[in-house]
Order: sequence, then structure tokens, then C-alpha cells
Amino acid sequence: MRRTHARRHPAPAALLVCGIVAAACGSPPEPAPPAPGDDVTTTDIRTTPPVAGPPPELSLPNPVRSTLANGLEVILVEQHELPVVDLRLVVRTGAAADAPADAGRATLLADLLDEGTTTRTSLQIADELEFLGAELHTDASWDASLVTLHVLRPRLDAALELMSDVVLHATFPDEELERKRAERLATLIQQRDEPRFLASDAFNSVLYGPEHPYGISTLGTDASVRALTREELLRTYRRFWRPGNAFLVVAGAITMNELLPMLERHFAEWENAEVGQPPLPSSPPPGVTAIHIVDKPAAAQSEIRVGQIGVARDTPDYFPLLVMNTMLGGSFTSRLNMNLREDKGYTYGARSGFDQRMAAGPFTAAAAVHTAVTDSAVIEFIREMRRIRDERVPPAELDRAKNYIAYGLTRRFETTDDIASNLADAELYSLGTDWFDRYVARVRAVTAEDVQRVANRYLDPSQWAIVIAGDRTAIEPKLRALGLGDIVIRPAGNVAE
Amino acid sequence: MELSVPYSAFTLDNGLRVLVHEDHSVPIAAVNVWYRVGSANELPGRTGFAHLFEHLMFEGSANVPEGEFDNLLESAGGINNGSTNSDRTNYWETVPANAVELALWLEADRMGGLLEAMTQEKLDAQRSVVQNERRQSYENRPYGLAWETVLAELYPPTHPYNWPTIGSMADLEAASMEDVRRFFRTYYAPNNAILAVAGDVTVAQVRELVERHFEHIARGPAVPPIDAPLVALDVDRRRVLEDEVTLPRLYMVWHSPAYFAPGDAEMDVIARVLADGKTSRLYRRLVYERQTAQEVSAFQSSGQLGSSFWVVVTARPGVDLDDMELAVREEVARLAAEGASAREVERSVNGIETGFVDALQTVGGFGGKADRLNFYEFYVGDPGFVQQDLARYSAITADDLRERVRRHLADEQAVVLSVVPRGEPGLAAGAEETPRRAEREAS
Repeated sequence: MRRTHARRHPAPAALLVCGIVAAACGSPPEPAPPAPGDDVTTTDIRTTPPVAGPPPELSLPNPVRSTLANGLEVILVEQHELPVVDLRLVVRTGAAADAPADAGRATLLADLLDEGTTTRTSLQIADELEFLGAELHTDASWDASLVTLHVLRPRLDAALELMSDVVLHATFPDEELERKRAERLATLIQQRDEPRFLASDAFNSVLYGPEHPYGISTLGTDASVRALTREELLRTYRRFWRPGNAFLVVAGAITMNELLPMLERHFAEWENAEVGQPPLPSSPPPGVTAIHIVDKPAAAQSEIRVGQIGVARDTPDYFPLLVMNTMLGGSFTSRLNMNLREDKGYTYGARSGFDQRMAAGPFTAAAAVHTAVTDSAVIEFIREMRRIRDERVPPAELDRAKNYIAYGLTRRFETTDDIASNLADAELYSLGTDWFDRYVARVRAVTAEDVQRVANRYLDPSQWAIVIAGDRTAIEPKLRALGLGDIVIRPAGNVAE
Repeated sequence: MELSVPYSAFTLDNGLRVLVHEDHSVPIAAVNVWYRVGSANELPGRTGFAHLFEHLMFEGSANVPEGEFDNLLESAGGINNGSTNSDRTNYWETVPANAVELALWLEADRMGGLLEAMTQEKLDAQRSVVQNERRQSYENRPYGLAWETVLAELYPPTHPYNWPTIGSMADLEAASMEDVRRFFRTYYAPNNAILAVAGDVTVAQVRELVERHFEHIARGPAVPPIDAPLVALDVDRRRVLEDEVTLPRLYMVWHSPAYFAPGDAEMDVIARVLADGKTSRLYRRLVYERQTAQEVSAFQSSGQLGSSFWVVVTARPGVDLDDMELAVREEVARLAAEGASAREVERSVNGIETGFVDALQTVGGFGGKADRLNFYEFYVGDPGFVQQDLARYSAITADDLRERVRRHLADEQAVVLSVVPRGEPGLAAGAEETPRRAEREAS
């Protein structure tokens, strides 16, 4: 590990709409052929950008499906380039099913899966996995819980034994729960030391309020984490962790004929049962636009969040929104980044994204800016978010965004982990088996009118919330002078108003 | 396990070294350029300049107007980035295979013609961006100043690893157009660069394109060598930082063998034995059993002029870092005396092996196959070193580890940095009232 400095601002994954589901498809239309070589002089070669030939045929993963005797759906993509296999077991229940009083339940449950089973202690599980050079991770997002396994092909069978053990036979030992609880509480304290978490937590809380799961971190609050019991975790585990409420995506150096007997052997005991999904939360009505400040005395920068409640993953406007956001704040050359970083020098990077979930997640535009320019940066955020509504985007900019998305698709299917995670998202959100095949054509079909229509529909100035974690003394007077709404001072962390 | 990245190599008359690896599995091409210049080449008073310069490389060149570098690549469906560390600066583009010539043309235009398009305005704008990068990643982040504080204690001001790659605010402020011109002319020449192309391309195609776009670039003067004094700590060097943090954190850092020198791979394995995974010694003791620490990590930070070995322990709120230091010292002493078990060694090496295979899955980006060819060419002069690199780890025995722990950690002095909540200096390791501090002052 050597400390390096990359030029790009690393955008948090949660903000990347284009990274959530990526897929590939038929070949895009061919651009004009390159200029004939015989009238290109040496000088032209040096001074004129080369014209690219026709784009390559996309090589798409070709998933095959099967179902285990207990009802577990299996999706396999064979990829024999290297002797590795990635598995992704997805349970269709995540943190959105946690009531606010139980916030953190899904993620704490996931944390405890590999902390003890009927036949192995926490340390035994870790030792055996590490000995296999395998990586097993357990986690929960808003919409799903997952267990992933990454292992070299010769060690797959042994590693699958461990994976199935934690999925089927977790025991949630009391002492491990108390250890993980203390660790989680310390993590929440650590996050309150970080301006970027202060800003994001406050922003989500402002948008969704204390009664909606999305208003609270998936990690929970101090109070909810303290209150969670072993019985509640066990009840949740027994109810939702069932093969009929799950599916398994596999990508790597294995055939279905080799895989199925292994899976039947390791997952045979997993009993199916009716699950009964809790209803999706409905969004609260938008509040009045205000500037919310989380005070971080003497902070060198202000962490700014601007946005509103966005859309669910099943929106029919997925592609127009993807193209619109790519231009607004979803790529390096996007308007927010060009304006706030390259033109003004206010920040190391500005970005935006629709976090699309089963229900409508937030639209967030974000940047960390030098304290002295906080008010000016807010003005530029508002300016760009209004401009993409008010003015039709120019054709060259639109084409660039569409090419960037369409031609960039192949790249997202390079590794076995990429393949498994993209296919898992497509399955989880029921995108359909032709999703990948139609992807490029649907990007291509987006027009400047579509972009303006979705910008007007989903970016509504009357609903914008502005949240800033920064040095209140330095920034409040100038923010007040903007006249964008009341100034509300918020305490740090996920606390009810 | 057999690993290889087959490649062809050739060198242009102007000294540009070119490496090509064909991988037709996905229609992607990766272009990757390493320049043999990093923050270790910077002059006193100009820290952070190599990285600031890296930013300027994206702002246009002789035939690429400002902003067009990114516009052209995004229009072709490509992504790009660059990075700087103490030893080298790298740049890459990953594009659909049909756009490989565009990526090469862009690299050639800035290698040959950056200065023709450079302006004071570009320098000022990127200076501002980099200063905000420093604020965001260091000044406004908990524990963010620990890295540069440790380096300043570990290396004397005459050693080029004494300062961080991001540089100081004052030095960034001082960077001038004359600095830009001098730096470009000294370091950004084809004879000081390596170009790797990997992916859905052919060797013949790459050779033709590289000759077309790079051959006319003039060779630069010989690059001045770096003068680095030998370093060693004669006493433990203790520092305390008060920061906007709730959890105290201890850093213990030792000098260790340079990249690919004997012992470098052993230090990677020692890091795993100490702090990687639940069964590692420090994690198990402090995080799992005693639960006085929130997290531990250990790593070998390898460099061309020497490496450093880091152990970082984040304590639970209110925990005295003396206890953490004691635990680290005891575990180091135990490893030096008893060595690691065969299972610990095998466990670590198996994890490393998986990592080697994973790294061969991508052609582009940081750590992809093109980057890796350049990495090996740069550090060991052999782009095809991957199998031998893995063999460095497979050959390690428990005795090797014990010997390296003794030589580089147990018998050596360390930088001991405590980062504590503001107003609580008493939580620091070796805080005033302890005998350890008194001994040090007496010595």
C-alpha cells in the first residue's frame, strides 16, 4: 500500500446511478467510417484526433438458470478465463424492512451470520476461510441482504461448505452480539467525526423524517442498536432467510453440471417457507425549502448536499434520467463538476445521482467546498439544477453523454465480480431477461426533449433541501443573505427533530 | 499456480519503452503510461508539485483544447485517470477497442506538446482544485494529518520521502509557470516513460500506432538521479496530535526493506499475520477478545528508496493508547521470539495468491494488466515478473518471518504517533507521567 493521489474525485457508490445496474446488449449504430488514409498528411495525424472505427461487438454474459429442489433460483455465467468463482446470494429483504425503532437490524443480522454457527465458532469460520484464501462478505442494503464468496476454483467446494453454514446455521451467540453491538455503536460515533457523514445523514433525515427507514442510516441509531435483541434477530433470520425469498448468482470458471450437485449438497437442508414481504414505505410529503446547517467548528471545508426525494428503481424514466444525470453530475465532464471544480476551483469534485431503490430514494447533488466559498457554491448548484430544466441541452453534449453510457457498457462486465453484481441487480429489480439486449438502444433513443422533460419532472425547486456540514460561524451570515429559505441548525447524527 | 501476462516489448529511437499484452476476451483496450517521476523528485519549497503537475496534464496540449481531453474520451465511451506517488506518476485510459488510437494520440500530444498550451490560468485553477483535495482528504478528515506527521518523523528533511505527495499549502501556493516548464522539460520525455497497451489489440497494430504518434517526440536530457541518504531511527520518536476525533488512534511505523529488496515480501506477510482478519494476532487480541480497539491494520508501504511498515490501532473511546502500544510491542516480541505457525504463513500466502489471480481480471485502470506490466518494468526491469513475484511469497518460511520481525521491528526504533481527542493528551502513548517518556528524555 503506497499513498497515491488520483486526479479524480472518487464518487461514493451510493450516488452513482449508472453504476447500480449495468448491462450490455446488441451493437450500437456505427458512426461514419474514418477519413480515407491517403489524404491524411503527417501534420493532420498529429493535429487532428483520430476518428474511431466502428465500435466493437459487445460480448455479453450469457446467463443460464436453474432451480434447486428447495426452490432456490440459481443464475450462472460461465467465465473460464481465470480459475476464480464469485457467488452472490441475495435475500430479497433488506434494511427497508426495519421499522425505525429497529433500525440497523438487517445490517447487524448480516454482520452476525459469520460469527457463529451450530458447528463452528466465529474464529473457526474466519480461520477456515482465510486458509482457503477465500473472501466471504455479509451485508445488507436497503433492498436486499447478501452473502458473497470469492474463491479460487480448486477451493470452491470447501468454501461453499462455509458459505452454506453461515447462511443456514447461524446461531447469533449472545457474546458475539454484544461485541458487534459495541463495535457498531463505536462506528456510529466515528461517523459523527466525519463531515461527509454528518452531511449525508442530516440530508436523508431532512428528506424522509424520523418515521421513514430512508431517513435513518442502514446502520441504525444509537438507540435502535442498543435496543435490538437476539430474539428479534433470530425471528427476522428465520422469517426472511428462506430459499424462496432468495436467489444465487454465480460467475466464473464452472459449468452448471459441476455447480448444481455442489449446491444441492450444501444447500439441501435449507427449508423453504412463506415469507410475507412487509409493504414498501411511502414517501413523506416534501418539506419547505430551507438551509440546514450541521455545525462543525473550524472545518476547512463545507460538505454540501442539495436535492429532493427522487424515484424508485422501476421508474419508466430510467434511461432519460440516466442521460440527464450523466450531464448534470454523473461524469467528469458533467456540468456540476466542470462548473464547481474546473471553472471555479471551489472543490476537488462535484457530482449528483439518483439513488434508486424499491421505493423512491434520494436525488443528491454533492461536493466538499472550501469554507470561504460555501454560499457561492450553493448558488452554482442551484444554477445548474435550474439550467438543465430551463434550457434544452445542446446536441453535442447529449451525444457525448449517450456515447459515454452506451460504449462504456462492456467495461462493466469485465470481472466475475462485476458480472455477478450486475446480474444480481437485474434479478433483484426484475428488469427482465432482455434488459441487457435493449440497453444501448434505449440509451440511444433518449432525446433532448426527454432530458428536459425528466429534469422538469424530477428536479423541482420547490422541493429542494439544502444541507451543509461546516463551520457555522463562518458560513451562516452569507447563507442567510442568499434568501433561499430559513436557516435551520441541526444537531449532529441521526436524531429525531 | 501458474500466472503470466505474455507481452511483447520494443523501444523507439527516442527512448520510449513500449509493452503490449493481447487479451481478446473483452473488446476493451487499456493504455497506461508511467513517468519516472514522483514527489521524491521534488525540490524543497515545492512539495506537492509532481501531483499538481499531473493535474495539469489533463488540461489540454498542443492540439487538444482545454476540456477536450475528457470530452473526446467520454464521447468514445472511455474513462481515464492518473495518480502520483513518491516514485512515479501514471496515467491511463480504458476505451472500447476501436478507440485505442484516440487514447494513444492524446497521450502523445501531451507528452510532446503540453507546454505549448500551458497558461497561468490553468495552473491557478488546478492549484485551487489540488488545495481543495488537500482540504478534503487530509485537513477536513479525522486523522488526516497523521500520514505527513509520521513521514516527517521517519525521514530527515534531506530525504525525499520526508514530505507527503499532496504537499503543503504554502508550497502549492508558490508553484510557478517556470516550475511547470522546468519540470516538464526535465521529466516528461519519452526516454523517461514507459507505455503499456493491453487488451483487444494486436502487437503489430500497437507498434504501427505508437510509431505514428510518438516517434516524432524528441528525446529529453538524461534525468538527474535522486540523492537519498541512508536512514535509521536512533530512538523511538514520539509525537502527539490533538484532532477532531472521538476514538484515539496509535500509529507505530518502522523503516523496512525497499520494494522487491530481500525482506519486502516477508513484511507483507508479517502485516497479515499481525492484523489481517479476525484470527490475526492483534485483531484477535485487541478487537475480538479484549475489545479495547475498534480496528487494527498493518501494512508494508513499499517504495523504491526504502519502505515503511505501519501498524495502526484505533482504540475505543477513552482507551489509553499506552495499552495499545504495549499490546503491539508484545505481539511483535512474541513473533520475533517464537515465529509464526505454519498455518499462519500458509493462510497469509493463500490470501495473497487469490489477490494475484484477481489482479489479472482487468486490463485497464489502476492495478489492471497494463498498469502491472509498467509496475514490474519500473521496479524490477522485467514486465513479465508476475510469476516470480508470487514466488517471492510462496517461498517464505516461518523462520524467514521470525528473522525479519526481529531485524526490522523488534530490534528497531519506531515512530510512535498518537492522535487523540482535542483536550485529552493524557490518552497518548507515553504521555508525560509514564516512565517511558522519562527514559527517552534522559537518553
